[in-house]
Amino acid sequence: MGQDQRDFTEFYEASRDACLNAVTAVVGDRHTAEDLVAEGFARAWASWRKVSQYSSPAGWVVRVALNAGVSWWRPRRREVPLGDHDLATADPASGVDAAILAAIRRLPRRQREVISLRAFLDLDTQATAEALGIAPGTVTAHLSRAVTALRLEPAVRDGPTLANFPDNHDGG
Amino acid sequence: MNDDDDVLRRAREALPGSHMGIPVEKIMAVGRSRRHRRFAALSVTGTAAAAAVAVGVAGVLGAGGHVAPVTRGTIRTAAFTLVSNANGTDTLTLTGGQAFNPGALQRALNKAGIRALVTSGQLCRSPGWSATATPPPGFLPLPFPPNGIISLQLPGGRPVALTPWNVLRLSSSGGGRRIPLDAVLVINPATLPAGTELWFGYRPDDQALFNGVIDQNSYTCSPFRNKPNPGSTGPAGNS
Repeated sequence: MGQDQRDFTEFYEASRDACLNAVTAVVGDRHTAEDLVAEGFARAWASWRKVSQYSSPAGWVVRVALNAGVSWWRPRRREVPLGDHDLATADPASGVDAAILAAIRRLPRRQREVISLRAFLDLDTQATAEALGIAPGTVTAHLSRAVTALRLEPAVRDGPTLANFPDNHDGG
Repeated sequence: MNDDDDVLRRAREALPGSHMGIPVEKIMAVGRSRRHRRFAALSVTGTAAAAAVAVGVAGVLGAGGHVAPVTRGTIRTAAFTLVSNANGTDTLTLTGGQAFNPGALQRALNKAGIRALVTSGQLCRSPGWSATATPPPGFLPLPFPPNGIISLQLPGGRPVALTPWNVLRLSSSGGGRRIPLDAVLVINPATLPAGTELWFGYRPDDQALFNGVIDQNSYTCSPFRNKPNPGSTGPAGNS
């Protein structure tokens, strides 16, 4: 195995789940997200020597995945039930919070993408801007609007995790 | 912690535990085909004459996964030779006593326009695919024999019935039914059903190369048994 292959394999193993989560949060369907992310990684490998030099190759994969048509993986996919990943009917035991994901999916597309990259890939403003091909100031604006909108969602506003977080105690 | 961090954390916690199950070998195989097509398109628009010539490509497959356009010719490495025949089939011959490089075979097959996944130490199969209703214990649950897609020939062209235990080897050691080391696989890629690809799995212990057909998007891979049993007739993996 060559060095490029080793590097890419390491990158794939380390970032594939985070990329899958990021895209799932935007598109809302785990199967579609997996196809899209697979396409993103395949294109990353096709241009690995260039992509590997980016500040966030994972951000690039997610951006490509979100822009890709599911033209190659999808038609060939044999439908295999993966009930534990069906977000619409998420088993509470799976830990998936369908209400919050639904709230994210109600955001405008660009706001969803910003939230997704920031939350699941932990990109900062600059890296998010590079991944999405927009200005840092635009990222900040989208994030601000998205956070404001999500704060109004009951699933976020009244969520037990948020209410119990020390910084959110209002003393009342 | 500010509002942004709170909301981002809630978003992150809303989707725990998802796992991307597609193996990296599959990703890289598709990536190679992407690069392949892009390179081919550039060749057609830029240097059509050069791209149209089918050439021997011995030594062209270098490190780093660089892949040239589909080439109908001969690809020769130390461990194998892949020859594209005039009738559209391809002939794969292994060379005994040589170190086998799965990546080189993968690139060669893809370069010849053959959809294939090559693994080392891994047995890959699609769930529920079986040649018989109740395959013997330890046999590949794959559509064997892949009639019309792969055939096995002895020197001189005499065919051998393909079974899961008729595999190419680079060594005469190990168990299983002995096939002459100079036996060849003839591949007819035109008959490979849509959505499927060939799988070649190299088992280092006995230098055997197993083969089969898998669903491109629904298969699993597991390690071969560490040591083939003397007289073993199957390539069973650890499940």
